[in-house]
Amino acid sequence: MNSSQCDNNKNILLFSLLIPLLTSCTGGDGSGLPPRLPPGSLSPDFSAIQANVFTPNCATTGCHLGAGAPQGLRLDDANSFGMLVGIASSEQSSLLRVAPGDPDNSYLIRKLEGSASVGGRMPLNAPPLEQTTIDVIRQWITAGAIDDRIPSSEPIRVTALSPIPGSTLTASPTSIVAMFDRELDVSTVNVMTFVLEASGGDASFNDGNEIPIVAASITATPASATFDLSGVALANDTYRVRLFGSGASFVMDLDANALDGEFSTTFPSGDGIAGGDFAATFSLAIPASGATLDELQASIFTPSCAVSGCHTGPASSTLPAGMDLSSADASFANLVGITSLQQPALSRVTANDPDVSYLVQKVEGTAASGARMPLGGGVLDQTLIDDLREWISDGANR
Amino acid sequence: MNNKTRIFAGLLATTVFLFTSGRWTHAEPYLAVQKGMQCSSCHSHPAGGGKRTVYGNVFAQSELAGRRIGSGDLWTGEITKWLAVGADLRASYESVAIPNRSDTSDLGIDRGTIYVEATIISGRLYVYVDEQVAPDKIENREAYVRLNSRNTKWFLAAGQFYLPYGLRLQDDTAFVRLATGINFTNSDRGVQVGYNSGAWSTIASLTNNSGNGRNSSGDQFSLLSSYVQPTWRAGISINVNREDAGDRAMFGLFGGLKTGPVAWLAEIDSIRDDISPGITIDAFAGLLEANWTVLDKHNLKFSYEYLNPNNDISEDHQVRYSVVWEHAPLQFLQARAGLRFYDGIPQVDAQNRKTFFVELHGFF
Repeated sequence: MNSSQCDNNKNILLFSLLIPLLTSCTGGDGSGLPPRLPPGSLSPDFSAIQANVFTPNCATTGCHLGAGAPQGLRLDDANSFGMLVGIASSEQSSLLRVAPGDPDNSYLIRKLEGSASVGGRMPLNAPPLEQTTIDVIRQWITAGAIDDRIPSSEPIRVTALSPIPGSTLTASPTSIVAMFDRELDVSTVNVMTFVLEASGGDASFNDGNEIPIVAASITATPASATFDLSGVALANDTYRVRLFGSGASFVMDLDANALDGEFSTTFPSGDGIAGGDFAATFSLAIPASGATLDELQASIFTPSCAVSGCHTGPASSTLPAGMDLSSADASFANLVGITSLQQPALSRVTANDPDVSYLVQKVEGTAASGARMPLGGGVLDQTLIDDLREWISDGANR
Repeated sequence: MNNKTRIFAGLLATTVFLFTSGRWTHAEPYLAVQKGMQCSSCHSHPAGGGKRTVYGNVFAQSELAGRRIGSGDLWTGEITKWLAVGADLRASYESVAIPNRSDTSDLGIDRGTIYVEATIISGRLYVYVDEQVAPDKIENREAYVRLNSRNTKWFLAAGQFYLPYGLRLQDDTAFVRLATGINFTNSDRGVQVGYNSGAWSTIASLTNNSGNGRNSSGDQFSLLSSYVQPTWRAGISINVNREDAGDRAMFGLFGGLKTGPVAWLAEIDSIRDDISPGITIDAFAGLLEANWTVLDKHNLKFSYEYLNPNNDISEDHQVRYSVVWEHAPLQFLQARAGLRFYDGIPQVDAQNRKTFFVELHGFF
């Protein structure tokens, strides 16, 4: 027997020993785990989804479990809810992993359905979940992505807010929506407990110049509260959303637990003790579509108003010099939100409303007192007046 | 470790011991085992994978291929003295049968990657980039600068790279690749140092968990050390991943053995995850693979894999058997076809699937 034949014989002998040994070592019978669910019986509850979908398919060794979990996303029983609901995706930060009430814009669904713009379909390197299973997860998200595992003695918490806290919007929102992790007592969501206010232009909410925003309506579902802004034009400013968990009126769940609302930057809200207020801010910075104040300064105020002997300052209660329009900063300080001396019922410039801005009335010649401006300098070209109106309509921003 | 895990580990250890102690003592890691070489003989990166070296390209055209078309110069990958390139493209058909579900099949591109290596200082300083270009996305997999010592025994690399751990199998679905989480979807960023002298090869890396597929805080230490002989090899792997939310520690043993026309590979990994305060999960994964050159240039691969995802649960383990035929009819073209049988818990149908696949792999 030559060497090659000898090697082959040894290998065949080895294979004949190994194959029966290894094939006798089969998969587990699952007896140490929850029993198999009958087909179609997966309920749209987080606890059922966690036990039957996330734990066996996602929170597996080397995947979404422990240190090194892809994108830091751990989907084991202890971490899953807190890392999914209301948390921005690290692959696509404009989307929440789970946006309560909005499965189409939940990154989890996009990853499971294979429509995410980044990375592979989940579960990675394994067959996709059945669409019926994904549909159950969709149902859970549509219903508010509530954590049904929370004992009834624990307080209700805010799990998400739209607009996202800390965000800067470039268009006025049509509503403010807060999501909760337990079923709300919808009767406790009202104008006393759900409040939106503008800072008054200084991004501060402690100086008494805040402007309350009146909602078109305030409504609630078992998992969400909506502050409807239909028909409400918001000016560029910083806004604070508040949901009260303390005081005379506060948000409660069906077990009469007060809202656990304390919030810093991460959801869910709360410090574990019922009774804190939720507060989060967002900003609105709608880009001006027309002229800026600097441009108006150059085209109107400097050549036509801040001429010698007219609106040249220093600022005082004496007209015309006291209404200093000699620079963009001075014009802003002396116009926007400043009560007219000639017509105290009006502001010289009322942001978002050129018709009741005394400045516009003066340059258009419709003011109840005094002469049309510029005094003795000829009528402003209508295109310049239109620029002025548009700047005011856009919020009269500096 | 439960009884079945112990049985598997014992069986694997016994098998390796039998081979390495008897007369037989004498990525695709099996190719390295067949040739008795380090992975770095054929690949630019010392741990294997990615762009092929001049030798790797010549091997693909001369020893791996059934026949070579054309009579021109051999392709070496070197465009100029200073620049070398390479690529891989895998397209496949796969049919999957899952209990209680309709069978599915899919034809598509699995992965397309291109490699570029610039030689800044000959023999000393290199810049390397590995970019995935298909399917559907462009994604950086590796990008690092590597400095070799004057005697080339040491190297230092910094950038983004795959971590040194275990056998760098091409198949990311292998249990040892899935369970360790160290595979071709997870590179990381940091520094790497290596020592390669004769039969010994050691690579250690310190990374920050910020690489591709990762987005965590913390730091990760990985080490791979192997001893390579013409007919056998053995090595150890260590990985410690520390994060604020919990740590992971892995320890692995791997080996290879050539017994005539069969190249054996084996790996076992013990994995411990701190899930949350006071909760720890211990897992175990193993691989035993035989690569039999049944005909000239035809490889028949048999593999048996075991995964115990939680040693505290007695009946949650999974096994996988695979039979794969591989053949390179021409230079730079490899065909593969195979069957994989999964056997897992009855609660999860996908753990009991059967797959059949045919793959064409073009590379240079």
